Amino acid sequence: MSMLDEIEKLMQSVGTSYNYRIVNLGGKSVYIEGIKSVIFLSIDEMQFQLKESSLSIIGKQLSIKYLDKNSAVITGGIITVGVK
Amino acid sequence: MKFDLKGYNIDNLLKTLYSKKVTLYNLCRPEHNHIIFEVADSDEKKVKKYINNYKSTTTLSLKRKFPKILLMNLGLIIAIFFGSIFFIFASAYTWQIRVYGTEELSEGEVLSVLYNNGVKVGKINLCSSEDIEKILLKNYDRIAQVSVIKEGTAIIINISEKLVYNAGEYEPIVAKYNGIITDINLVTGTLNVKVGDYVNVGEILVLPFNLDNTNTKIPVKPMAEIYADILVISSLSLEREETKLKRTGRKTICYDYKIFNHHLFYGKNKNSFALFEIEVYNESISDLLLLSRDVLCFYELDYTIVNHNFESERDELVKASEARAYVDLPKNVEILSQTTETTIIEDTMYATTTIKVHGVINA
Repeated sequence: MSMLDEIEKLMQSVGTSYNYRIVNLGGKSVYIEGIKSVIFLSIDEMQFQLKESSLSIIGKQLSIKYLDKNSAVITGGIITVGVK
Repeated sequence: MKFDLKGYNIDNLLKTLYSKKVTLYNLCRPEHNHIIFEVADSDEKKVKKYINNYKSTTTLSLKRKFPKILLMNLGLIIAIFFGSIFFIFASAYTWQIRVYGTEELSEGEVLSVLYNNGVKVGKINLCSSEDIEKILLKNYDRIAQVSVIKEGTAIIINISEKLVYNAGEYEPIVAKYNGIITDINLVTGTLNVKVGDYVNVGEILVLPFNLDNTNTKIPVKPMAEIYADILVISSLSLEREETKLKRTGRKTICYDYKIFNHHLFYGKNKNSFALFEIEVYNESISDLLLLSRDVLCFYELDYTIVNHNFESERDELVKASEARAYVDLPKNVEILSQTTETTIIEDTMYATTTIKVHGVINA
């Protein structure tokens, strides 16, 4: 059982739904769910379109370990992860 | 599948790939116009399709660590690899030796000669076809021609044997002189030579049989006239110092007594001459007892040394050489040429007479 699924189930019980999930693993990698499109990719910054907002990751030597239609894993020196 | 792209529409490409639900792995964008990413093999065609659309601004280098088809058929490739090694190894061996064309020779004889020279079934054969031909020709005089072909792991030997004369029927016609054959009038028999051949004394010219359509030998008395340019060569020599021996008149007679042809004892007399020649004959003493004796007559010899003068005796030696050559000459022949040469080698003078005649070589 996924830890995120467990957390979502717990939160749904209080009547809350989520459009995206972001997990920052110690500043070395970021797991993102709920991506709708890629806005911008570079070695220092990556931007993704979410359902109702956009996600910006700023760091050093960023690279995408995995990217599919809904999710992505970004590795590198993560400095900030922000949602606008 | 790994893609390494350079160009100016990378953002558009990424958005397109993303919209077409292509899953990207290990994506890295070291520069704004440079991107490296990997895709699953199932998405390869899809990516290539969109890369082609951006061809004007995008360069592509494809790097596949290991061809997919090889990975899918790794077992087959390993089998082919080991199979090839086995095939190369096995093809170096000789697995079959086939012998054709033997008549008098047996296949076993041929194989045994090859076996003794290292050409065996089930062994790696290091001899070339030419080597095998030489081995067979060297070991069998009866082989006229032989050809050896290697077909894969088989050695195919084709032998053509010489026509063999079987003693006990009719005698073959043989050359009585050395010469070059110029004309052949064959009545019966099978020719063993042809016009232009050089034959030596004793060589078979016509074999005593005829061959029918099935190559069966039918014995016949050979009859033929074979003309040739015959060379009759005679050579005499004369040494500058000749030692001549002659008897002095003194002799000693010794006896060796025998019974039943076995030695009994010697008589009293013994040979005391340093240089002698001996005459021996047997005389019976008693026929009843089978007693006999060998009479040994020793004649004392003396020698004198005669010094020859080559210049004064040259003509004499030439005449003697020519006379000797004429003795050996066949009868009823046409003399084509005659030469006599004299040579002096160290203390010996040689006179060699060569007479070339045209006539029947088997007469």
